Amino acid sequence: MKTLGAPWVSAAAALALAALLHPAAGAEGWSGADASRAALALLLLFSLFAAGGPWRWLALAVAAVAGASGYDAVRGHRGLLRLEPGGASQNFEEAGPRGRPLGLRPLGFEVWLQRYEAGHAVLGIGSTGGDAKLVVTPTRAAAWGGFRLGSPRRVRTGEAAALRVSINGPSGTHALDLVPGAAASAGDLQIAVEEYFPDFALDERQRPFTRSNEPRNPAAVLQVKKGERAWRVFVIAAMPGIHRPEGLDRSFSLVSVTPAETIELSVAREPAAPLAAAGLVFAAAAVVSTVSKA
Amino acid sequence: MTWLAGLAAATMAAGAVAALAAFACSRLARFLESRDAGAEALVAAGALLPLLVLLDRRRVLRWSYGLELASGRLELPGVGRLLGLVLLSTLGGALLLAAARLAGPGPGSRWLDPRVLGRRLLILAVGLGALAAGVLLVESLRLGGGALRAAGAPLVGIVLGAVWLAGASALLLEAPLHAEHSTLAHRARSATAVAAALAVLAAAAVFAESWLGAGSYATAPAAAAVSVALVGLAALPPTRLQSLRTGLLAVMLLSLLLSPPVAR
Repeated sequence: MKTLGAPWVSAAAALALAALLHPAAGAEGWSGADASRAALALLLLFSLFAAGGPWRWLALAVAAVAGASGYDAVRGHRGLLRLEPGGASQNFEEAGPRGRPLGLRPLGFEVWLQRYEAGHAVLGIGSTGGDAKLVVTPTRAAAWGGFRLGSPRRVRTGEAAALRVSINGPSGTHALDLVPGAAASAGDLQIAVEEYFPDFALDERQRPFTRSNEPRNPAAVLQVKKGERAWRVFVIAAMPGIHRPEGLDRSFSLVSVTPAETIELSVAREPAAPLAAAGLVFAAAAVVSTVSKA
Repeated sequence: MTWLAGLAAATMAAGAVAALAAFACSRLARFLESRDAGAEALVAAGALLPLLVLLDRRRVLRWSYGLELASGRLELPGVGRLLGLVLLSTLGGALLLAAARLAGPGPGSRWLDPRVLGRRLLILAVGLGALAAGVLLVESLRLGGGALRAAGAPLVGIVLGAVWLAGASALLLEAPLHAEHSTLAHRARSATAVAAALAVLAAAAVFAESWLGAGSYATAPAAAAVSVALVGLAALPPTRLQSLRTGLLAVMLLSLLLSPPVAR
């Protein structure tokens, strides 16, 4: 007990916990980070308590903050909600420790994106709230049904909203806009997008994959039909006209891509957050008391 | 900026000032106890050297310095040369003082006293450091907002390093010091407590700002602020390495204030 209450123990535990918590340390990628943090928080707590006197007030404040954040880590929920303009959802994608996806979790209400302008998302709330409306801005979250929705931002999904393809044939060059999921006609051809790669690359087994969701090296596989015959045509923006299908007197080039975007909001249910905040304020007062009573 | 973010920034700034005052009192109390000005100068030079080496991704070692702006990198060759000279004179001064300490208190060369030369090199480093900070400030002010933001953290680092080295050089020159050890030690303890309390309050403000603004307190700024508050708690216990822990708190508060982590 005497060693546990030694000043160097609490100083070392606080410094080690600080190092593990700081984002610059990159401890999030380490699987043992959460367990180590919990162990160090307990060591700090017991060390401050064992030191006695005014340090016990500080131990109480540390217990409130550590307990509240631990409760929220176990019993709370955090994740992302993705909505298309006009689209609705009753679930969000929950994320566990270190951003590990945990699948869909029900919100308990239906939410739809009425509009998104200048970083502000206007949300409509469904069945439980009637015509209720929530405005979420980059600096102010909104609460509904025990959840807080915040940080609205436009993100790229990795899909394409439209692809512009140029077709070069005996009658000249024509541009055609293709929407994934729908076939378009170009003279006697029916063309559809079979697969899209925003950042095309080949793996070690020469299989195509995409390195990111950003359209840095866009490419696509098109399905081209003429009467009864069909071709699979590969187009890549970096190399126009690379592929001329056998038996078809046309060549195809990918001219440009309009990336598909969605609106993403962070969702969190952290019931112990007020206790953690109160613990921090109490800790400030306890810090002053450690010197005034010393 | 919301009022909570403003409160957090003001609390961090006040906490950093208190931590720097605590650090200065702690070093002076230590000097009054040991009366070893050479050790103080070596500690100051030892802190300034890694800062100079790490500045701008170790480019000062190549006599180069620049600012990373949104529009691209902006080279400031004059600042790079000045910082290179600060590095050389600090290193030279520190090596000469260390050599003199290792050699012991016996009589030195009649022609060249390493203590005097080392002291003069450190004073030169202070002057060159002030000049480099001045040029960097003027260039950043001339270029505007983005440049001033990019130069903020290194500028504060250079100024604080130069001020510390200047104080240590003044002790080497036997400047009069009208203070008592017990008074300085008490002031160091009080200022450390104030700095730690302000660091914890700043963490509470960042925590509330994250929860109310982003919807969750599990954000990088809140984690960084709580981490700095823990460094504040670590500075409190009456144990060894007091000035190092207080100095670390000052550095962490300043870095959180000048280059806060991005929320996402």
